Formats: sequence, structure tokens, C-alpha cells
Amino acid sequence: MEAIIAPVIDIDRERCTTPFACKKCLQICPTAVLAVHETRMVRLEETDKYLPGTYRLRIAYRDKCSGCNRCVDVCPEDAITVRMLEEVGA
Amino acid sequence: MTAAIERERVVFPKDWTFDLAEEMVEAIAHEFAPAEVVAELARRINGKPQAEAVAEAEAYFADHGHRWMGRTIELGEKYRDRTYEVLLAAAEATGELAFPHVPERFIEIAYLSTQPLYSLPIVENTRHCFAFKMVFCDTYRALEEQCGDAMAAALPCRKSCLAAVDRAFRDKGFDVEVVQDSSLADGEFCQFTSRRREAASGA
Amino acid sequence: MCRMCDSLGGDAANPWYLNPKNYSNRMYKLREPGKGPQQAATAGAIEAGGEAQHASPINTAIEAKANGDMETFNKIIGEMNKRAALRPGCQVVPLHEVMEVLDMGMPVAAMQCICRKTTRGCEECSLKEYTGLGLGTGMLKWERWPERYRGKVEFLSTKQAKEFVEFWDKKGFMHMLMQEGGDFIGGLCNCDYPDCLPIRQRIDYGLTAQLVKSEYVCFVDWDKCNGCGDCLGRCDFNALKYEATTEKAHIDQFQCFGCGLCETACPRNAIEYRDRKQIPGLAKVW
Repeated sequence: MEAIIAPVIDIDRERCTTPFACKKCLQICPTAVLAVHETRMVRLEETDKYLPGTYRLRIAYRDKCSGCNRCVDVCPEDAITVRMLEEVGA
Repeated sequence: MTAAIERERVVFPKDWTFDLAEEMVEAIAHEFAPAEVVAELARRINGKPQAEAVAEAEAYFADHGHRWMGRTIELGEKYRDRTYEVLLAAAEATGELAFPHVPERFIEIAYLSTQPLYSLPIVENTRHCFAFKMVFCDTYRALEEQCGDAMAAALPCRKSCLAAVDRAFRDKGFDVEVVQDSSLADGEFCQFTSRRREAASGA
Repeated sequence: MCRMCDSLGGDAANPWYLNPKNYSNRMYKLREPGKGPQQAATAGAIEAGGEAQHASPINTAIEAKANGDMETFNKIIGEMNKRAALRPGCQVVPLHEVMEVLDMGMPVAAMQCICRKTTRGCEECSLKEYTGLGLGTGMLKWERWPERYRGKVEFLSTKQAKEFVEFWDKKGFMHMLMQEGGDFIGGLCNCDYPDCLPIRQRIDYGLTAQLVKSEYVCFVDWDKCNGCGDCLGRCDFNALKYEATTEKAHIDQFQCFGCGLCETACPRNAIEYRDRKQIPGLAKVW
């Protein structure tokens, strides 16, 4: 059986700075490939989701990415690109 | 999937503490140090026959346990911490939880302050029952050293634990039956279990 | 018996999670000499979500799978399962036994689901939205880390907690007790695929040891089942289907996790729980 190779997903973190406040890609992904994590936990303080860099978008389950591009289309910052491996040229 | 509700970001006061006040722990440690409690007993029973000495020791420890918990409750209420405040609010909101957790707090304070423990080994704390055990007990060790093995084997100090635990529940409004399930004199640890009497169950 | 009861004190009559000892926990601890202050109020930031998480074995395995390298993937998963099998993990618990657990009366607080926050960016911030239950006296100190709870929790009475779990059961969430490595029970989760991390890791990546199936397997009583289909769509584990030949529900016993969501949805009581341990071919299928 030929190995299935998942698409390559890139997140431009210069553009994607407040993913927990935005969360559009997280909620639209049919297979829930993405995840968001706080970058710091401060005692006695909730993290400010509007402050750039306090949360980080992560590709958690890339093997489940079908390349449907819904996250690319929904991103208001054009921060996500999804390419098949032949396009990457690896 | 619901949209996020916009609200103020929560920032709690930086001086909130969830741990026991060290000043309180030190005060109780000073006032009820096991070695000194036992030294005072040793003076009182010096030279008395065994049976009489054990009876006196038991009375002495029962009184000691009562005073020890009384003082712990007094100081524990003076030195409140955020954990306790949250417990009281949760007990108020749910109508539950005061048993066993409010008395549990004072029992923990009493033992943490005077015994070589960093945390009290809790065996059960449910709505029906509160049980804990003591593996390394300075009172028992002091009894062996200062009053001899025979006195230690009689374990008169259990009266202190029984009285203290009973007072913690009673002063906080709960009727419990406190029993000792296991003893350091013939096992590896003492275990005390407080069961709520059903007639008194309500809150 | 599975490793959960072996290590946490359960027996044939009462599984580990009905043993009150597993819920016992202290309220306080003292600072040990040589350790830092109990609470540096202004300090104490935890760096999270950074590269450390990318480097975890599961993420390395997923990357390997995404690149078509199944050999590396299988090797890492095999090692993770071997390690996880040494300690207790989380276990699926059906609704009727969740009720018994809640009867013990430990502190119970409704809280946001941490997995759902991570995978879908959900911000549950009121009792209407919360899906998780935090258990034990540790919840009395939730305010230390408001980010974990997104600013609020709601303590519930036993009656409220039962209604809460029943509500989410109806909605289609199964129930899991989050046993943290044999140390304590952190919570009672109500969840489904794909948001829930343990469910997902077991279903998608074969991490079998972290999430243990329930003590039960669900059977369909074909005399009672009329094929109405009310149970369909509630199984997270591809165990339940409508069998056209018999015109009744069909459960694959080897796929079934015994969560009982089909049972709680059945209007005819046509689904019954059987003790997994009593069925020779399933007694070791956890």
C-alpha cells in the first residue's frame, strides 16, 4: 500500500497573532487538525487573548488534513497556506 | 458552538494566598510541641504505679486534645486563607461540603503544625466519613522515650487525637462518631475515622 | 480485572472508581525545607505551548504518520503504550455509575473543557456552557490558575452535578474519569470525538493504554429492539450501526467501549450492560 502523505500546512505567525480571539480556522476545520495553546500561564491572572503572542496556533493533527482549504479561505489575515507535497517539491 | 461572551478578563489580587499562614503554624507548633506535652506528663506520673499512670495519662491527653483543637480553631479562624474562603462560599452555594471539609481544615492545621508532616494522609473524605492516618507520630515517639515502652504500648495519647477530632466536628456543628481503626502500638500507623451520625445529617 | 482495579483497589463487585479512597485528598500542604516559598505571588509564570510540546512523542509520531513514515509512527506509539500500561489511566464510566460516583459528595465544580478550548477555541464561561466537572478539594484552589478555568468555575451540589451530567449525556457526550497517573482523580469529563484528547488519541493513533474502556459491554436485546434508530449517531467508537438484514441495532462487542450512550437513548430498554470481565473473549479487551 502506498503511504499517504498529508498536505503541508504553514502558519505565518507574523500574521496570525491572536488565534484564540479569532478562532475561525479552529472552528471550521472538518477534522479538527489545528489546536491553540496559551504561551504563558500566569498565576492569578487570565491570559489576555487580544494581546499578540499570548496564544499560539499549532498544527496538531496534520495526518488528518485533507487539504480542503477551508481554513485558508476563512483566515482574515491570510496567514495559512496548505500545499500538497509535490507542490512543496520535496 | 456558541460564540464567546465578551467579558472582563479575570485578574485576582496578587496577595491572595491559598496556603496556611506560617505564623499560625508556628504558634501552634510552639504551644503544643509533642516533646514538651509528653515531658509535662512524665513529671506528673513519675513514680506512680502503671495502672494509675495510664489512667492519669489518658485524662491528661483527653484534656490536651480538647485544648489543642480549641486553640487551632481559634487561630484557624483568625488566619483565613483563600482556600478556606472558597470552601465557605462553595458550602454556602451548594448546601453541602461543610462536612467534612470545614472540620478537615482544622484537623489538617492541628497535625501539620505539631507533627513531622508536610501533608496529612487522608484516607477518606466523603459526605459520610472522614478518615486519616498517622504513620510517624512525634507524640508516640516521645512517649516511648520519656515514659517507657509499657506506657507507649498503652497508647494513652489516642485520647488526644480522639478528643481533638471530635471537637473539630462538634465545634463546627457536626455530630460524629470517632473511632480508632488502627494503632501505632500494634501496627504501622494510627487511623482515626469519623462517621457522621445519620440523625444529624442535613447540611 | 484490568490494571486500573489492580493498582487502585477495586474488586469484582466494586470497580476502583466506586472506592471512596480514590477520591480522598488533603486540603493543605506545608512547604518542605529547602523548597522555595509556597507562593511567589507575582512570579510563577509557566511557559506553555512552545517548542517543548512540538517535541513530545505523540507529536513526533503524528508528524511521521503525516509524512508517510508508518514504521516510526508504530514504533513510537508502541513505546508510549508500553509506558502508559505501567500506570493507571482514564476510564470510560457509564451514566448510572457516574451517579454513584457523584453520591460520594466530594467538591464538584463545573468548568470549561480544556480539550475543547484547545481544539476548537471554545470559551465556556457559564454554567450553561461548561461541559467538564473538576473533582476534589483541589478545586478549592482553582483561582491560582484562572487561565486554566478561563476565569470562573461553578461549585455544584450533588443534585446539580447529577443533572449536569444527565444533560450532557442526553446531548451525546460520554463520561470519563480522569485518573492522573495513579495520583488523584482530576475530573469527570463529558466529551466526544474529535475534541476530546484521550478519545482522539485512542481512536486515531491507537494509544490504547491512556483511555481504558468501561467495565461493561453493551448488548442489544433483539426481542426488545424495534429498529427505531434513536441510538444511532451516539456511538463515538464505530461500534453501533443499524443492521438492515435484521432491521435492528447492531453492536460490535470488540469496538464497544461500554459508555452506554446508546443505552441512555433507547426508549425500549433494549440495550443492556454486561460485565466485560465475565465474557471470556472480552475480559482482556480494555
